[in-house]
Amino acid sequence: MLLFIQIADPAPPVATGRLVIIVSPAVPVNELSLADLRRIYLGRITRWPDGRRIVPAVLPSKSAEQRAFLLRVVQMGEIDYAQHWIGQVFRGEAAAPPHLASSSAEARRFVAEHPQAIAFVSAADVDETVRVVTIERKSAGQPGYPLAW
Amino acid sequence: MKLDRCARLMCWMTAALMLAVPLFGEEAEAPRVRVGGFADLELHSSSEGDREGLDLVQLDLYSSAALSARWSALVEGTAERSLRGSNPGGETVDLDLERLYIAYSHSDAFRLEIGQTHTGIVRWNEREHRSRFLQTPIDVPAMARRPQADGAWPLRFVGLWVSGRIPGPLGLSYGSGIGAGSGRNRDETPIFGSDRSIALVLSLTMAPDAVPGFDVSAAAYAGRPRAAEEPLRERDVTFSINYVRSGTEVRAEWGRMNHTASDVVYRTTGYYALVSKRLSGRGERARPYFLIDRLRVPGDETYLAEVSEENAWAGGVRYDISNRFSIKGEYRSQRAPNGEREALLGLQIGLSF
Repeated sequence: MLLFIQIADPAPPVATGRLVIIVSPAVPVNELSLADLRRIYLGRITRWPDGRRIVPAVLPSKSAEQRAFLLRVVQMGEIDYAQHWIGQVFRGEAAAPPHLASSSAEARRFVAEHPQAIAFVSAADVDETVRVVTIERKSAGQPGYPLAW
Repeated sequence: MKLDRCARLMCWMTAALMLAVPLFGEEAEAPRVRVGGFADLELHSSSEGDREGLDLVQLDLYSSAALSARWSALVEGTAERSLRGSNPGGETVDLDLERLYIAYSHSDAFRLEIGQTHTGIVRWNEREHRSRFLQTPIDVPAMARRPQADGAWPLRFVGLWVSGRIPGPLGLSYGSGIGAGSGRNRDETPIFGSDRSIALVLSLTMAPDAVPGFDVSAAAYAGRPRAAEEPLRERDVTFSINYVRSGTEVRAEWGRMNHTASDVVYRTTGYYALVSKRLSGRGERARPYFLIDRLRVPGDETYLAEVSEENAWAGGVRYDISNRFSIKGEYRSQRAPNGEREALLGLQIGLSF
């Protein structure tokens, strides 16, 4: 009976979502490739085209957005990502690890207030204070957008 | 304590610069001064009985300062108490200035470092620098050992280092340096003395967009160290591949070092290969690994007389209790100087702060 119930139990719904990459309106960038986004979040691209230092923001490790971003973009687990940034700062290749925002709303505020910042948030959390950049020349609503699942 | 006059001078200059950070005004975008470090201790038990109990305690401290939007400085020093190395019968305590430089970063395509830095001739050393916390296995591969720990390759030099990234799908980056290389001893880099020598380094790395996490690298080093009898002509090359993605880690490197004296050429060869995989699910804090480590040194080369050959393999598990605290357990099989295989059990506790 138990076996029957387990077989008959419907599979849990597949989590779906859509992340968008936001920057300050002052940042002179409208689009990014997935590879460059990964490099930014690994500290290998450190400056915007106008020379200002890039300040990436991340979300708490328990958040669904952070997990999805690490899995799909950085392709590292939380522990490896944290230790990667310890190494980046130690090697002198980065001035500081990414800014840790407590929520998507705080990440959006941080980006709006810091003209060199970049962050990822859920598509529903965007407002007019920040600008959304396209990824691989696709915006969040288009088919094939790489940060939708 | 191996700080010569020049190193002390650079220490004071960097300290003065860091204290002068507020004078640079509002340009600084990052936290002005950052201090951090690593500490680790190792316990071993060997089948030969020559390494028992606590045999290595290491403290690595560094400080970086964002002097302005483009200028920064970094200083790193290490303290190590060891029962190994060239003095196996007794305890050694080493205090070393590892890195000390001022950097100017114009863009991602051009960064200039002035001071004492790493040559990057060995990729492991370049990527991991000194901290054992940041590496997966307990031991540093033989070809990446510091000269102070009887390593063979020239890992440090004092001078100018230029590096940068070339935009494009191939993910090319370069590094090139010129400065004072090794002196009469491998672990010295004299700047003013009669035994100073010029060293040149060039490295090129490709990390293509098509294969995230993969990179391949080549590096060359040329120097003329003033060995005891006559200057040696040194030519080193290394090749490495790395793949770090989704919990998988593969690192392999091969290096050849040629020392030419009169008509004699001494060839030193080394390589290592490391494979590790972070487990998934509930085991995600554990990372089992396997390492092969080889170093072959000509027995009659006096300049590398203190360097011992290595023929070892090791298997173990790194367990990350947190992002900044790890424990590693390892079984290592290595060839002892008498030719017999020696088994080692090791435990390392490391933390970052």
